[in-house]
Amino acid sequence: MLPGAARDTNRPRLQRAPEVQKFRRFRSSQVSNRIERDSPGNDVERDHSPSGSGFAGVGSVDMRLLTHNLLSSHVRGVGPRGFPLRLQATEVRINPVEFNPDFIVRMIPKVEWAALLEAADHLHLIQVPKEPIQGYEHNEEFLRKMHHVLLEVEVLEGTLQCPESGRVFPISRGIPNMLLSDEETET
Amino acid sequence: MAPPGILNRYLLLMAQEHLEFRLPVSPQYRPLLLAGDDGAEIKSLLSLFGGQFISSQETYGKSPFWILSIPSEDIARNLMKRTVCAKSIFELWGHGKCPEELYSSLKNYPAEKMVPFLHSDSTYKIKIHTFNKTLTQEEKVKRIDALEFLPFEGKVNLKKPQHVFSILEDYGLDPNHIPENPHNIYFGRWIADGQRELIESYSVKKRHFIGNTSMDAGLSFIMANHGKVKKNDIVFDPFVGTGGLLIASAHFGAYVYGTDIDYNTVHGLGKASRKNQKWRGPDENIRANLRQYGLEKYYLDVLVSDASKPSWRKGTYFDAIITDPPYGIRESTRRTGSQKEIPKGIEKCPESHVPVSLSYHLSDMFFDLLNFSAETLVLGGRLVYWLPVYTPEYTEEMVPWHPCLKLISNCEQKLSSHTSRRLITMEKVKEFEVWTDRHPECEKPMEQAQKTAQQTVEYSRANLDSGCKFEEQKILA
Repeated sequence: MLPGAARDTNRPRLQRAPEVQKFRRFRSSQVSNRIERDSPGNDVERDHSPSGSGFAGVGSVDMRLLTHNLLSSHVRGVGPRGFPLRLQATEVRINPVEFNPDFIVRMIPKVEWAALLEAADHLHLIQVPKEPIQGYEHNEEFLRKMHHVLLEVEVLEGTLQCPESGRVFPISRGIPNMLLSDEETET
Repeated sequence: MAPPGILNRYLLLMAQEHLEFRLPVSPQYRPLLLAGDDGAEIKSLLSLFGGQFISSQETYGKSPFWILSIPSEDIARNLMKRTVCAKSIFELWGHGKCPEELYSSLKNYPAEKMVPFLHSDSTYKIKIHTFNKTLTQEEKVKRIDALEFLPFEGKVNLKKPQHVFSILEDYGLDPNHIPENPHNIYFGRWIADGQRELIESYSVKKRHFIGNTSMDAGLSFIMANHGKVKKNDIVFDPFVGTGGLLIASAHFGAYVYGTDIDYNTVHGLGKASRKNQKWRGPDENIRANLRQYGLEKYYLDVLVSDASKPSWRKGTYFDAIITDPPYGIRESTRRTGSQKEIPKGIEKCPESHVPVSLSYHLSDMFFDLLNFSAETLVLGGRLVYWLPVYTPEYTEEMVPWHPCLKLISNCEQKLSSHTSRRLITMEKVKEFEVWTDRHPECEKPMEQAQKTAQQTVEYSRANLDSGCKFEEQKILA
């Protein structure tokens, strides 16, 4: 928080502060533990009990892995080496989304697979298909796995880091902040 | 069933708020004027459903009656599932300038096309629709009786008829000179109604999260239709604001992305735009808006990002880019910059660095928007956006141009005596070519577009009290 942040904008937050803070403290202690622990027996996947996902709060928004797959660093001089962004998460949740095989079929050719696997690996997701399989259009099991990894895994808090320049883009309350200053951007 | 290649004639009844002519013009009615103008919405939808708009229409001026020639009733039904500009569509059985002409035209309509809807175990009713005149009950009965010669064998059922037939009479557009006899009379079988009710059900007045410049619901749907948004598309709005345009696209089954430079808006923080409400509530955000309409599953993500410095990787993954760029009339045009001073606009940005906005040169904005669209749209994908123009100086050459994008339509919405905005629809027709230097041919339109947009902004600001009340349709809900 900026020390000089205008008082005015703080006021509305104060009104709802108790609720929000409670929510966050609870979440971060619960989730960050499981993500930071690296042991294979502690996969995020397995830990996501209904109570975990159900607690996400009505107003929250989160970044999905599909989005991560489409983002690239635009820091000056980085070019194609700015992809993929390195994903770190301190809060993740699994949020069920209605399965729509037709949409997933459309997305498969657009996915950069290596980037997806890397991101999924950072989140310790299991059961991520290593590549598009033959005839995936009619393979519901494959499509459901892809649906899950692209749309249902959501990052609430974390960072996206430019692999080339090291610039860190924060994800807060599920929304990545991709703003750069003029010095940092491509002209 | 008509043999292939033979087009059937349908009568489209366009929504034209004739109130327009009698009541003070309210912003709510403006979109409809635009709609009637050139049928861009209908054209886009017909091309989406495999029909074609035949321009040799027997229409005149701004008449609400249009005759469409399309191959099948399915296309007509699909069209009506999408349009917010048309009220109803009818299978046209007859048309004439006077009753006699109508009757002889009806007698020429092939009996085998009528019979399936008139047989003895069916129920029906006949409705009368007049435009620019009110008929007495007696006159209506007379008109229905005159149709006796048609082989109606079914039973009349006014409450739940299987088939509805309509007599439509057109008394012109001038409420001060209503002719004795109609200019045109049509008779047809009603097929379907359009989506007019969406304008009410998606009204910003009842929307959870809104901003000062939230797009009117009707216009949002028109924009999505111009963009040929369809199921399972990905639609992107680079100036997303409170996400009104995404809602319309999601309603048609598209998945949506948005970005905005304003941290507070994207996070749903700061001052409320609603009267009697000072601050935004804890769950005022775009996702909650979609949830309100049962469309949350179509939410992909929203990012804080500067449209002039997009952070999307190379590739074509957007099916449509639909947006209302900020021109600085009500919301300032901003981009990140390097000035040391922190303006008041961005007060709450808890991250390490505080981006500063500079005024975004408008011609750069068009250049960026078109270039970005040419790069990230799929082939055949569409860009739909608003271009403000200062009407005394506007010419068509001012519309920004790109070698990979073809202009599809350009519709005007008048805003004041000197200003209007134009809804520009472009389609990607060519694979993206690296275009770092601007083509000289496109440089001029970009600059002219900038000039006219700038003039619009200046004019609007200078006339905020008089001519530009329209712009201040702050939502009073």
